[in-house]
Amino acid sequence: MKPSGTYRLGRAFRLLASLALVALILFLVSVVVSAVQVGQGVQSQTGRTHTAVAAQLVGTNLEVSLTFPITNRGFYEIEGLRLASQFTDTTLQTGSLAVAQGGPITIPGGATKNLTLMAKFNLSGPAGSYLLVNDALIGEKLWLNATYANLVPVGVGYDSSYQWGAPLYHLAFSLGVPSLAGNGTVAAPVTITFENHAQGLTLVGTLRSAVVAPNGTVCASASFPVLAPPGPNTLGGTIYVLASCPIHGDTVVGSFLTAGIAFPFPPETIP
Amino acid sequence: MSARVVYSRSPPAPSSPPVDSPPAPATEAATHRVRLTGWRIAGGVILTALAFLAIGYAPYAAETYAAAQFGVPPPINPGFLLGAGAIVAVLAGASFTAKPTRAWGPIRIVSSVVSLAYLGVLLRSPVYSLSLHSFSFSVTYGRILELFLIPPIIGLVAGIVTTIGDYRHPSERARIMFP
Repeated sequence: MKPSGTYRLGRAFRLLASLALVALILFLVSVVVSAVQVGQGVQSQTGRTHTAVAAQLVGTNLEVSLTFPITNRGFYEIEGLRLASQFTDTTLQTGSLAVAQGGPITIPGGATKNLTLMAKFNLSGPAGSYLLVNDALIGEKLWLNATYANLVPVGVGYDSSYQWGAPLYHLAFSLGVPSLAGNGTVAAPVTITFENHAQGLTLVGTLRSAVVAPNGTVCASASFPVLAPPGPNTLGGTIYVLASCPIHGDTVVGSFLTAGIAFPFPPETIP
Repeated sequence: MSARVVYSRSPPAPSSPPVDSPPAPATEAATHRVRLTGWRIAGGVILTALAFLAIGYAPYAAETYAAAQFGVPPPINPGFLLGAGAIVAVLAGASFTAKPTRAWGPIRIVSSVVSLAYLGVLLRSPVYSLSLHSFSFSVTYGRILELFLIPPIIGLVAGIVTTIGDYRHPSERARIMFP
């Protein structure tokens, strides 16, 4: 006896429901297995990535780009992978020092793609000047977002902090007894002291400075070559100041120039 | 163990047939012995246990472990996971056991509706977040849960259609389902 159409329809739906459930379970198992492989791949990559670093000055921003490869060892694609990082000065609470962003990129299963993280540091801001001459605790927040297998959005966050060692820690200018130098100027011996707290970094560059009177007149300008290993450093030289300038009460302004990038330091008043 | 099921629209046979007429043979369409025994009951019990482990106990254990180890507040009440998971699992096992009978359609309808309600409650909290010291992790499993709505929806349709078919053709199904 041939079954009725209603019964055959019901049987077809029953079969379809069973097949759908089995297919979904198999798919879910494959997603989990693949995700474990991705996790193992990330663990083995950590600390062994070849990172390309490039820096350039755009306006008053120092743009640093870091490029590193990411391998997807799973068999489903990682879609919309974004990496963002924010650096804050936890000592001064000056807000965000820099924001870094990378992506989005899509990495097919079993493939490797490069992710470039671009960070912008504002050198002319108060925080940039502060960090040039003061140690600080830098906080970093890192966010990673991606959608796995076009199905599972995943977010990872990581907070950390670093001790910042200022390369020109406690930068100070002191003038000796001035003497007439002719051409309407006086020559004053200048002593520049600072401590290089940047760990393992020998500071190479030029210290450009200018003496500015309270009325805005530039009384003198001078450059001092810097080759400063970590630790206390003293630079000496002579600066020629306009005789009409009072010297005492003037302000020293300037910047540290290295690799074509000028890092302004905070103005300092001559006592 | 076997259950005796009689599906027939023909009038009941007279208790004492005429003396000169031969005894009426029992037709297959009229009387069948349903194999509700042995493996089908055992299969239903096993299915219930597996389903409970997968949809009730496993999420319950994961939530309570994360809460105990990392202090993560459970997104869904663990008691609900355990209780509702048990109900869904028992209905799935009952549906399997009752497959050859006319009870399958209504049981499948109830099972599907309860499963959809269970998934609906889980979908109200589709994100699981874990914070551990300076590390945080979140995974959104809403789309996976939405995919798992498909089988009970199809199963609900199958239950409704089968129930209607059983109602409209009470004598037909026996030959096919109870060989």
